[in-house]
Amino acid sequence: MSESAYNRKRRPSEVLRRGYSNEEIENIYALGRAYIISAKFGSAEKLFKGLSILAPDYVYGHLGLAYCQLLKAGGNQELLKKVLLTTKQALRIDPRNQHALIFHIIILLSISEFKSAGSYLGELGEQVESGKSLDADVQKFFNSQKLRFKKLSSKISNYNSIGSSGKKLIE
Amino acid sequence: MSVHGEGKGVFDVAPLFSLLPNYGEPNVLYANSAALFARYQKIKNEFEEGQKELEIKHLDDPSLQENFLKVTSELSMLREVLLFLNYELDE
Repeated sequence: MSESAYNRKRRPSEVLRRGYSNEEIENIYALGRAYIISAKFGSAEKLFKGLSILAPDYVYGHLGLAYCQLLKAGGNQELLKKVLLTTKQALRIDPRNQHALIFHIIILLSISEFKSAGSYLGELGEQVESGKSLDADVQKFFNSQKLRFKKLSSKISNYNSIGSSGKKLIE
Repeated sequence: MSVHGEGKGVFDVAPLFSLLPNYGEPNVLYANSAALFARYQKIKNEFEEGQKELEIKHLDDPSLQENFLKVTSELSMLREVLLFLNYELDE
C-alpha cells in the first residue's frame, strides 16, 4: 500500500474540506466502497463523484469514482478517455501513488496509448528498482499489465512510437 | 464483471477493487447524522436557488454552471448518505 496518500500526516489545509471533516470524508468513501460490495454502483458513483468535488485532494475519492466509471465504460473508448481524466486527477495529487498508477496504466492500454502506458509502467518499475516495495496487489497488477503491454506492443508496427521506458520493459 | 479492451488485451475490471483501501465501517456518519441532514437541507436550498438563477438570467454563464454542478454533486452525495442513515427524503 502506498504510504503517501492516506497514512501521512495531514496538512492544516486538509482539516476541513468545505465543512467536512477528514473522518466524514473517509467515512463517505467507506460507504461508497460498501456500496460497490453490494453492487449498488450508481449510489457508489454518486458518493465518489461528490467526494471528488468536495475533497479534490483526496486520491481515493477519485479512484473510487474511476472504478465505477470503468465498470460502466466497458470497451467504449470515449468513456474510457473520460475515466482517464479521473485517474489523471488522482495522479496530479500524488504522482507516485502506486494504485493510481495502476488504474491509469490499465486505461491507457485499453485505449492504445502505449507510449504513455510504457512511461507509467517505467515509473512503477523505477520505484521497485529504487528499493520501494510494491504491495502484493500492486505487484500482481504491475506484472499482469507489463505482460499485457509486451503483448500489445509486439503488435505495434512502429516500435519507435512506444518510447524508451516502454522499450526497456520489452527488452 | 465487466471485461473490456477488445482487441487491446482482455482486462477484468472487478479485481481492481482490491486497490481501494478498506477503512472499515462508516460509523462517523451515524454519529454526525443530524449535522449531515442540516447540511443537506442547506445544500438543497442552494440547489433550488441555483436552478432558478440559471433558468432566469445566467444560462450561459460557465462559472455559475460549474458552481451549480458542484452543488448538484454534493446534493446527490448527501442524499445517498442520508438514505443509508434511513432518513426519508423528498424527491
